[in-house]
Amino acid sequence: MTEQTMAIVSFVLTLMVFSYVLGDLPLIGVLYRTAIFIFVGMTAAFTLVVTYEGLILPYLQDSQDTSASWTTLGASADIYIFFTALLFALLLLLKPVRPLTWLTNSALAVVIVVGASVAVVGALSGTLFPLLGATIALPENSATEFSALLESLLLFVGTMTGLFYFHYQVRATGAPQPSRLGQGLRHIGKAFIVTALGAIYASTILSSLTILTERISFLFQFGA
Amino acid sequence: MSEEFNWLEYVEHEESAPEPERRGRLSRLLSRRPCLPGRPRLRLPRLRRRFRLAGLAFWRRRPKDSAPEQESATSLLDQRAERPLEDLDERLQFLRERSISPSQPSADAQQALYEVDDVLVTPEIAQKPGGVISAGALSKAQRQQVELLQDIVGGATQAEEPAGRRFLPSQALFSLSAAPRMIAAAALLALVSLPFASSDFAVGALPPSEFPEERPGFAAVYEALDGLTGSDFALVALEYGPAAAGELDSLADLVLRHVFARGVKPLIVSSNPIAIAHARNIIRAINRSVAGSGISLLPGYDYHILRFLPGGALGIRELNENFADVVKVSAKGISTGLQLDSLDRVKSIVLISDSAETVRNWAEQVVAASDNAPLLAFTSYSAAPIAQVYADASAEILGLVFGYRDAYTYGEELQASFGGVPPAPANNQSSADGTRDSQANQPQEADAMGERPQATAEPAPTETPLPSATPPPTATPAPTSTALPTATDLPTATATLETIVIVEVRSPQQVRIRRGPTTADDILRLAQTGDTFEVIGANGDGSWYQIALANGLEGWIAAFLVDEGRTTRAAFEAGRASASARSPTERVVLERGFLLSLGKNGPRFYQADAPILSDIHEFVLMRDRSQEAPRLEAMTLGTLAAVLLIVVGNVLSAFGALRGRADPNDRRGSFDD
Repeated sequence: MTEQTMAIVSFVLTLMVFSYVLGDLPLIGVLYRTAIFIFVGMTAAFTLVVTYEGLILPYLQDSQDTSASWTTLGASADIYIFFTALLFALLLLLKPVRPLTWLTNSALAVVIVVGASVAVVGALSGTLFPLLGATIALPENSATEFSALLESLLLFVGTMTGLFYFHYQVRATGAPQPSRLGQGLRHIGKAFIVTALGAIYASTILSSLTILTERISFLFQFGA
Repeated sequence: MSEEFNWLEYVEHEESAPEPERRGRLSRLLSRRPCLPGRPRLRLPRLRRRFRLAGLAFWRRRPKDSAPEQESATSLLDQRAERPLEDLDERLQFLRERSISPSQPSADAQQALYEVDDVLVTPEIAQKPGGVISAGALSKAQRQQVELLQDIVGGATQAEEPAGRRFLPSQALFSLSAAPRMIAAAALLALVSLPFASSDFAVGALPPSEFPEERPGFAAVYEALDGLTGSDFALVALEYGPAAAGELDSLADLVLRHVFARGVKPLIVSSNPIAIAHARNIIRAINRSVAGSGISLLPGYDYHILRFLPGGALGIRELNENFADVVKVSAKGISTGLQLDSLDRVKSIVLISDSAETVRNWAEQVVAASDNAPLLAFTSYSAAPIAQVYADASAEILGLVFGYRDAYTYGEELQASFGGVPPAPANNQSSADGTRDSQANQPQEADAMGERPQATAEPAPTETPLPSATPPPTATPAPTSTALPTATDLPTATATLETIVIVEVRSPQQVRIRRGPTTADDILRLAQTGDTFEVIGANGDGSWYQIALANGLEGWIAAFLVDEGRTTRAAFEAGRASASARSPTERVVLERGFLLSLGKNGPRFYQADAPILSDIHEFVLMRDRSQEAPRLEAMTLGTLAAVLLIVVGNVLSAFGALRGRADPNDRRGSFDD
């Protein structure tokens, strides 16, 4: 496919997606949905191809040509890994068969447990500890000590009041209503959370605008 | 139909059944499990169930006099037990819809994808409007944040359409309720388009051309990449899909150009299979831009696109743990020939991501897991707030560059760094008469005039004397577009002329010299990139040169693999002696040799790695910058328009709320809804 053909296809698909501006109408809406479905289909197909070429094919080649083994484990170990993965995939395919659903769940359980373990370990070492350390330490990049102290104080107040906004404990019998101080802290935490989420939302708008300008730039370049 | 299980009827039946008050909620939940008609319900032994419920009941017991409106854990659980239908998982809602109307056509494309959309890398595609490519698409995490924001500020959540009808077109051709949205969208599009139509609508100042002092991490990222040399490896993680390409392509393009300009081979990885395809597109675009200078990046030689990392965080963890295995296979499933035992062999890790979750995965699974190379983060605007937190907290993350404005500043610095210096002669990028220098200056002149450099228009000079005493030629020789010589106008092998025609191997891979002018002829020897030979003839159509070999033999070499030139015999002999004395190929083999496999049954031999190149200015200078300023101005206008729309929308909403208070029966727009 030539570059020009690809540009034309891109142009048409871009216009089809932009047709959603006119609404989900019976005729025009088909254009938007068609473009999306094309993308969904291509995504699924390409995922399949990449998975086959990059993951499955090397195992199959290794099983035929032991001298071309690309793992340090050796060809025989590759075959065992491949057939283990194949077995798990077959178990997943049994999902529609109701009496054998437990087999599918067993395979899923392994994947979920391994994934959760990796995620938990990573979250502790990569998120919790570094962020805790950064919260209790003075910022390094501040201009003056006063600004560093102020920044650190702001960070501390935001963290604590933000945590105070969410409380999960079971209240004791006859517990009084939250004090005014407590309510005030919750409001401060609420303000921090709203500000943070607002910043994230504003960043999302900026991302959207950047993408929009790129598409419009493409349309103008194509039309020029 | 009577034999089929009806979820709705079953639930209603269960809910209508009187429940004893003393019975625990958990036991009621357990008893609500669906069971097929005619199939006995699995019941736990009474004794076992009693023990289990007794053990679980104590922490769920809610004090009788605690305030129910307070947000205690018990009240939250109680709310969960009686949650409305809208709170059900989308999949359960879909099942319920299908049970209510079993005749509903299931051939709808979205329904057909219902089972597979979860495994796709871009789950946004199966979601409601916004879609994948739309500028307003929000990821799942972003939508959750928005919902939390709405919950906190008390805003009304927009009611969702029934799951089964989301993609069905509305019946009316035009609805007045859609008019404000269409007007707003049209106004936004018109405003954003203005800078592209005319330069008179330039609004706002361009970003700074130098790194801002208040962001030292920005400069640190640039310096880390600029400090790479040709013997280093850089791991480039392209972690974004087509939906973010419009934003992050500029950053990825700059990073790769910077890496290529330093002569470094990037190892491109991704846990997103679509990003692997997109990486090829980016490099193809870079190749197009530098085509005029005769440079061509080849996969497996100048760069490696490694295999897809499945499983998100698991795949990234695998990269860290089994780096040697990951780098041995390319995305095409063939051997890369790379023998890198661990991630420590990589000098820099570059992460280009549109998702805060991906940044977190890399920070958790790679940065925190071992003492690897520093991570340089390039993100979209939407991922920047979270990524900045990690960049500040972790010393292993050198800095953060985000968004299109940062891309502009980075490009300006790159341009300033490479633009004022002529291409390095050390790796023979410039020929003896400075031809390459003049080519490198072309884009500078074009940029000065605000025009896009023409990457492919200008043919190369026809007669380019090859260097006589310069270092050995490289993988990027001067281009040739001259007509192939015919046998009649070439000198004969016996002629002793002062000026001779020579060819220089330009292919970055080894070239076979054959006994005759066909690929069926025997191979006499292999030629390396930059080897030069005297031409003694050519075949009829000029597709093969007949060359003189050093040992007195004659051989044939394909014309498309070499560049033709003219030089004096004395210079040619001197250059060949000089190159031979240094034995560049052998030196490189000893330093960075790797096993190249040419197919399953093909020959296997140790091939010299790429000659160490550096400061290849064409990658930086021949960059299309014509759309940078209009895009930035369009973003400024779009931001203003977005703020205006939000303000107007809120004002209208406030008026609606006031009107609702004036009339107690009219609660439209009320914040209490």
